[in-house]
Amino acid sequence: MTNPRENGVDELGRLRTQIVELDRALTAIRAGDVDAVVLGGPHGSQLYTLVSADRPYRVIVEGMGDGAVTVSERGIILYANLRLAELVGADRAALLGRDVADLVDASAADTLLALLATTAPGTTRQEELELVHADGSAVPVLASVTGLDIEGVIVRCLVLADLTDRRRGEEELAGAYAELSRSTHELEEAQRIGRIGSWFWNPATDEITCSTQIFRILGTEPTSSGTMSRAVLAAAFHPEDASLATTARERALADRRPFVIEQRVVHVDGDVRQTVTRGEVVADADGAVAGMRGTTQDVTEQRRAATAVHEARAALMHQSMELAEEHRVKESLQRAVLPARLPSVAGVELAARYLPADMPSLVGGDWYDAFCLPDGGLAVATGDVVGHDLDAAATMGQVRNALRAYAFSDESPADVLARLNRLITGLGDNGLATALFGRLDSALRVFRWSCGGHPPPLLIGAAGVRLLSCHAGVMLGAVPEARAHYADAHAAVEPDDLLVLYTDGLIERRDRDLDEGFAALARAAGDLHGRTAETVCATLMDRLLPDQEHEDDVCLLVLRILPPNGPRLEG
Amino acid sequence: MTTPDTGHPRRSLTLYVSGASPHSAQALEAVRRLCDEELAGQVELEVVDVADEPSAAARDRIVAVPTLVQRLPGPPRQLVGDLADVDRLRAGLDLGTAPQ
Repeated sequence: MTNPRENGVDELGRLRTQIVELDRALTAIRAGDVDAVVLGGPHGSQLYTLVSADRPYRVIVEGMGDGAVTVSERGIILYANLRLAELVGADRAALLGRDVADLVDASAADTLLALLATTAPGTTRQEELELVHADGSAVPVLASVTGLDIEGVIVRCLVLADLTDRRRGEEELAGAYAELSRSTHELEEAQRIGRIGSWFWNPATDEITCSTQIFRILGTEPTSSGTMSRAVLAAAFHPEDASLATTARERALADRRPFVIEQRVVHVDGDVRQTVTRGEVVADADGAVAGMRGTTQDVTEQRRAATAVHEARAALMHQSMELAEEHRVKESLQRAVLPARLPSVAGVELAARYLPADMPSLVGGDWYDAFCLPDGGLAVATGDVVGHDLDAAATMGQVRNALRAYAFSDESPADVLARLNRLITGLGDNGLATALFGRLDSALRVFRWSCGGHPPPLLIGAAGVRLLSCHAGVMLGAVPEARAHYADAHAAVEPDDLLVLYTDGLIERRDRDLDEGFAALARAAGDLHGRTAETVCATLMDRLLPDQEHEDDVCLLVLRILPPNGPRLEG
Repeated sequence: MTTPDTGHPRRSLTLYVSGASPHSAQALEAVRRLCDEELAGQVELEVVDVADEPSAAARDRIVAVPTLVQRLPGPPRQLVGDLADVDRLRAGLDLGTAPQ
């Protein structure tokens, strides 16, 4: 009946048809032309939709801001979202199949793997980790691991939240806090150094918040809260001053003007401190009183210093007035004993200078004198009484008057000085003086003189300038009569010669010795021969005391021998 | 991912998976283990998530995942489905029975 060949052909045709149908079905499935397939399973047929059921979740995971990665039980990456690839700087596709431990530093791999291994299905654990970016930088993350059992296969999902910004925020916060601590410390230091503290009165609590320095000023330990009630604060001040703060506070609240009050603080040890408190009302945006703030400063030291300065100034003024008065007395005394005008003597021209010392307290006992003698000669003298007080000035007056008296007796200059020495030693007031006394006989053209501890006279002659040497007797008053010896000397003088008598103030300087002073005098006088006495006076003063500064009194007396036919007036 | 230590890999494999679905996870574990332990340095393995790269799946005419495609050596061949069965995997790659 049946033809095997025909059967074979039919079978082949049937299979061919089946293959074509299967191929069409596969093509339809591949082309997405079906919505679902029905598959056999242990529990009968099941419907599997071909539109990806997990697509919405994929979209969420892809779009989320955190890194997400799913790993197998061994830690092989099954899935990673774009954000994770971004966090580690890798191509997302290349992450699949890699070990998740590659995402962290080798040293942290064990920590990560332990975290994964110990997260059982159905549980979630968190830990902070650091991912390693492709550029080598560390990316801090909070890893949340959830274990899943999918039909007997264990996988773990990690969500990695980037902590970089949070870390930076934490660091900035820590930095800001450190800066704040430093500023606070510096403010406290500034307050401590300046002994100034700050405070704020809170009307809600009626308490005053005080800086540490306030407690130091009050001499009390800081309270734990740093605040004090008004009553406690008031008790720290002197009882007589306590009401000042209350009054100032009430007035400031009324007129809203800043106030300044001074109060005394009495410390436990009895030390009384002077304080200055400045305050002002703080108002809120609506103008209501929000508080009062201000500073309190311990000004005890400043006040003590100010008092000391004030007292010193008063003492100085008193002293200056005393000195000025003494100077005035001495100067008038000195003027009184100096010749009001120089004598007019035939054949001699005279000029003189007297300069008191710069320092008003150092008015000296320098003097000079010139007067006519009964025999027609001219007597000249200069001297210096040691000391700079009124006693010295009085001694000078006595010496000068005595010398005048002795000069009128017809004695030699040396005898005059000897008698003067007897007088001074006899006065018994320990006075000391130098003196030079001389007589000029212009007719005989001779100058005779004697010297007691005084600089020698200078002769400006046609041949040159020289100091006239003589036996230098001791200072008057230094030794008793028996041992004091004075000698006469004499020098010839010619017309136009000049004799210069002076006190040591003309040549003495602190910065040079006496010999240099004499040399300076000789140099200064070198070109003055033939000039008038007045010119020589002025020139020597200019050259030797150029800036008008002189530590000692200066006396200068210049005599010019006139030619027989009268003075020639030269510059 | 296994990369050769020396010379060119003798085998080029591409594993198509679908995220962390169970068969895909098991397939990836099995293939990685085989590549790491027995074929170290001889395999270039590429893992493709069909959800990410559907065009790659279309190119290789992938109908279902997981599918392992061996491009080299020999003519291309595909292993579809349960790759966690090691013997089936080894047979598909002509590796004979597992060494003891």
